[in-house]
Amino acid sequence: MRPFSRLFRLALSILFTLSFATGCWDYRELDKDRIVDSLAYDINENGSASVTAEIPNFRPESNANQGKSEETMEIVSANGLTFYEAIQNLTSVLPGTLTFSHHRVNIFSEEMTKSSLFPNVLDRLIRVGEIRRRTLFFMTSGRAEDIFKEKIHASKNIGEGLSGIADTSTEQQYSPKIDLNEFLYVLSTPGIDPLIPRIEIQQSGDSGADEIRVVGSGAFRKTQFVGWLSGNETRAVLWVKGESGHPTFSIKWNGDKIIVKTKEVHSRIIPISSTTPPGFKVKTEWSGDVSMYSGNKVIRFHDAPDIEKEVSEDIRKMIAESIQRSQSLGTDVFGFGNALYCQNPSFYKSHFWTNWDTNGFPDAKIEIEVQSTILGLGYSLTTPEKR
Amino acid sequence: MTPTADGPKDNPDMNNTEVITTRQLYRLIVMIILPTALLSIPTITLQKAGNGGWLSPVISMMVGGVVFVCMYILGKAFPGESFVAYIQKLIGIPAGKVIGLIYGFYFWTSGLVVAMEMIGLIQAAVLLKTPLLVLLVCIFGALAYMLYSGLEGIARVSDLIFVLPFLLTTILIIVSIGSFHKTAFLPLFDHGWSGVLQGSYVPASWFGEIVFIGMLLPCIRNPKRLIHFSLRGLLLTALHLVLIIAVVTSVMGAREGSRAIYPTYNVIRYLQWGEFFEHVDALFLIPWIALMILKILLFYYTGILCIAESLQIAQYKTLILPIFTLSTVLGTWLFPDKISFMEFLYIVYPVYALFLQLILPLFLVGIYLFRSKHLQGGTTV
Repeated sequence: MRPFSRLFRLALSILFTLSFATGCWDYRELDKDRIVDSLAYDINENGSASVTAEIPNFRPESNANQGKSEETMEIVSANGLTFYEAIQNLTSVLPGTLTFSHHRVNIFSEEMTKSSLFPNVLDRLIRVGEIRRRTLFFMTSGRAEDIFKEKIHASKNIGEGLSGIADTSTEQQYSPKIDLNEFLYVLSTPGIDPLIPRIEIQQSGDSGADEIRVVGSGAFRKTQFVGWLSGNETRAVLWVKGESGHPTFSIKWNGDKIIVKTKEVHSRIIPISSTTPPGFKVKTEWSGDVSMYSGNKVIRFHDAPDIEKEVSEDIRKMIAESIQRSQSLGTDVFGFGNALYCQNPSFYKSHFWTNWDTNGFPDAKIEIEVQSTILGLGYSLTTPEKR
Repeated sequence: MTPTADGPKDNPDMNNTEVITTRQLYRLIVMIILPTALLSIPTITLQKAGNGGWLSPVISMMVGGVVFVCMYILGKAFPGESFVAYIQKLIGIPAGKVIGLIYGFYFWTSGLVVAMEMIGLIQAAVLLKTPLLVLLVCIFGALAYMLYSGLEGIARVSDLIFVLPFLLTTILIIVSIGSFHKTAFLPLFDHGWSGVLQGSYVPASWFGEIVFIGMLLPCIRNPKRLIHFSLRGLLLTALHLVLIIAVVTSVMGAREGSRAIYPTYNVIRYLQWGEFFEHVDALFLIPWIALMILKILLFYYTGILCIAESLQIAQYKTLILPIFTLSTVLGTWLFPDKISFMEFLYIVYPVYALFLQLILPLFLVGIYLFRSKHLQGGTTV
């Protein structure tokens, strides 16, 4: 004889489980969550860590707001001996719980990235499970907290604005888009060093008002900031790495100016000699269209080889300057070392495993070969002035 | 030849008349190996094998194949009898009972370890403040109820959720393509072939879990295509794991992947498609928890069956409540912290598991072959 019916057992199990309903411990009042959108990291004059957070403050629907909810941004700062402590100290001035699951942007000051505290911040970012690897990295030469004093056009806050700018700067390739995952991937890969996009507060040409601009990038040797790369130098890095966007740039042709728009860039780094110093060849293939021409000549397709030659020379110079700059900084942001490691791992391990940036890359002999292809001349054969 | 030519036979000791098909067994094989591996395999293989870690599951699968062959040979020799029943015939009743109990203990503790692994992720990702005891009571309470439904119920649930991991992996691959690093696999096998072999050691103990079919073979209806479906299950699981490791390597890099505790979960959290497809952790957690629950159920079912048969308990269901109560208590103090749990999982468990999954069955097959002249038609010596 069965003591309990199947239904009774089911009901008993459900009731028993419900009595331990886990919501009692992990309930969250959404209006008490303080969602950290962006964080700025600075070092104070006395060497302590300073953190500034941009936190949206949601005001619920009310009659005073004509029945609409309202979002304003709060800027909160705190100091501590370490950045972890400084972040904890944010809670001393904020009611509610700090939440990092929507943490979009990290802004580091130059001074901070030169300090020994930068690796600690990276460690925190990967240890705190709440933080996503999509969180973006930026750095600035001044105080990072100053960025929050400015506004980005057509954006509700700095986090949203910088996320959008990161996308467009990648397209225009004057700065890379680097998130936590990308930074860590490069950091953990032999023979290549990371970059972080650079943002600066600059005066607008017309109004003289301050505005935030993305200008090039900061180059690192492992986790140590070593110097800045300009927009063009950064673009060269991205092209050599084979990261193709659609930037435009101008060249001189027959004394006139031509602006070309990139369609695609393919690059390969080929180690040509496994010796000390090692030799490399960079083969870059560029293709694009003519976007603007300032002269009066009618451009014909038989002019294309001439234009392509100018484009190739321009790109070659740009890449050469960028490589030279990186070699002088002692940071291989291109990945020449990685190409050598992939081709000849035992040679790389025995000669350059620990000192590639200082002993290998600066002396490396690098040839650059650029092949350009003009795919189209746009939708017009002549300029409007041509009669 | 198949283990049972005439279909399942009622076990006089157990009154266990449950029946599943070979297709269901194939799904159960996938379900018992895949869930644990899905979460932890990239860390283990990438640590040892570097960017060649994706090949390690193929080597591990071969261990699973050997275990299956052992179980098949023994099952064929003793048609209609379970693993615990024919051990007693092979090595004598007292020793057979002891080994049966050891297997019961192994399946039970394996289920407990899997449950602790599942609770570990739930605590890390969703229920951060909920006490361990509460989670244990809830999960084991629900599992105990599910186990009352028996093997047929478990097999039917597996039919329902079988597609979920494959759907999840497909989404994972499609959405993460944009984040792939093409140089992540270069130079090929950067830790060498020895690394690939070392990387396959711990996963081999998961593929060896196919040993559970020893207890299920008498329950299989029309087992004509047993070899086909079992090997298909092993192959599908290995292929799935190869893809998962390749995705983790490609998105995070071999070194970063080897550092992460839950690399697959990290990649899921990294997924983004435009502005609308992001924060999709639940897409992973829900099917994964469903798979883990099924795996725990299978382990507990097999473990309880082993103990019941060894102790000659007529109704295995009478053991469900005591075993789950004991599991709840054990769960609170067996692994006091995450570090000791990880050490057990990666250092102790493979030795313990591989001995029972591979070494002992090989030994039993050896005894069977040695004494086969004296065995007639699966009867006692």
